[in-house]
Amino acid sequence: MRTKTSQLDSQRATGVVVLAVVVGLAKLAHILVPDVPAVIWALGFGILAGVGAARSRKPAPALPYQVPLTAGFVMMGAQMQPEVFTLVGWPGVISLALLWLCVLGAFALAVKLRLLPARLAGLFALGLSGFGVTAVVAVAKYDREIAGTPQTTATLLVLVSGALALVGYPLLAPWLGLDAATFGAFAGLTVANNAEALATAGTADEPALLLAAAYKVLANAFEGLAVLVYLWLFIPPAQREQGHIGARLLLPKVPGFVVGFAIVGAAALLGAFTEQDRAVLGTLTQWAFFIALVGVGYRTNIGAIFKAAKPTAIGLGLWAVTSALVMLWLTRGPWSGHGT
Amino acid sequence: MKIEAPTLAVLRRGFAREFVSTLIALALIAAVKIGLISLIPW
Repeated sequence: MRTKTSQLDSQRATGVVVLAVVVGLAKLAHILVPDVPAVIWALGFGILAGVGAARSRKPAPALPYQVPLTAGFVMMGAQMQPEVFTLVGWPGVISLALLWLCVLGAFALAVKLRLLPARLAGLFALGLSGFGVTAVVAVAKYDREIAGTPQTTATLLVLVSGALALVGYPLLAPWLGLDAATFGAFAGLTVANNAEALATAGTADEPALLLAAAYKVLANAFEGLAVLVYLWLFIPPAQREQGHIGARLLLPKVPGFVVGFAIVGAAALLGAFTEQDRAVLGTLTQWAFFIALVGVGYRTNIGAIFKAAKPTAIGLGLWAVTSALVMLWLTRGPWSGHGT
Repeated sequence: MKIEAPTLAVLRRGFAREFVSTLIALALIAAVKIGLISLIPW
């Protein structure tokens, strides 16, 4: 037992050291060539390290990037200003509802056309509705039938769609002539995982990152509810009554960072932070995301994109279609131009 | 395919990590508020 724990500790320590070294190299590169955005350096060095780790014979250490990512999210709350409400506001909530309708519609159609089995389609839809891998894990806890291959496939879909967005969205942006606010909204809405959504938004100027973060916080606030909806749809009532789903679940869980962001954001709106505080916290947030992005790059499995199996490929196709619809809504819809 | 589906243990660890990260962020914000961070030459 003790050896197992110490082995785990040493693995964690290796992860921290590797992350620190790669972050240092990426930062050095950014200092030497400041014309290339910091996010590109962070992701690039992360991806290179990931490819290197995958090729080595030793088991690759997991990099602890979630800590800076979550801390960055919470600190981002300090940048909250009334303008964010005007930028997101009711049109933002409607955009989110529209995304859910598109995703549900697309996957319901795929089931009707027998392209995907119903449960897998439900799992894909849950993951791609903006909740990402955590929602997939949460339902797998209660739905035994999806534990294993379906869960892995849905996880793969979420990660591969995120990787594609990371590479593809920055290329699409100038072609579509997107402004930073719309780009941030688009990334925040259509990139399922928080990390990839922020990484994608980070490739554009402000306020892209702030908007993506705001949309992710908004979407994540509904994660518990979405998990409940999935379970009501796919788990037979008899099984539900057998106590597989406890009373605990009736209270939808809201991720901790949403609460943290909300508290700090409320404090910011009440005037807790001076301009100087905001600037210092902004620098700290940038550092936190820079470290996190190295970890995201490291985890991005470029090879997996080309090896996607059939259901994943269908899921990716439907994701692309829903993202295109959201893009149309953002650029041509009644609120295009984002409150300007 | 090398990607493995995360398990419940991973999720639980994730929640614990999220709690710790939120505390770290709040500590940093507090440090900024009381002026500790400004002592660091950036």
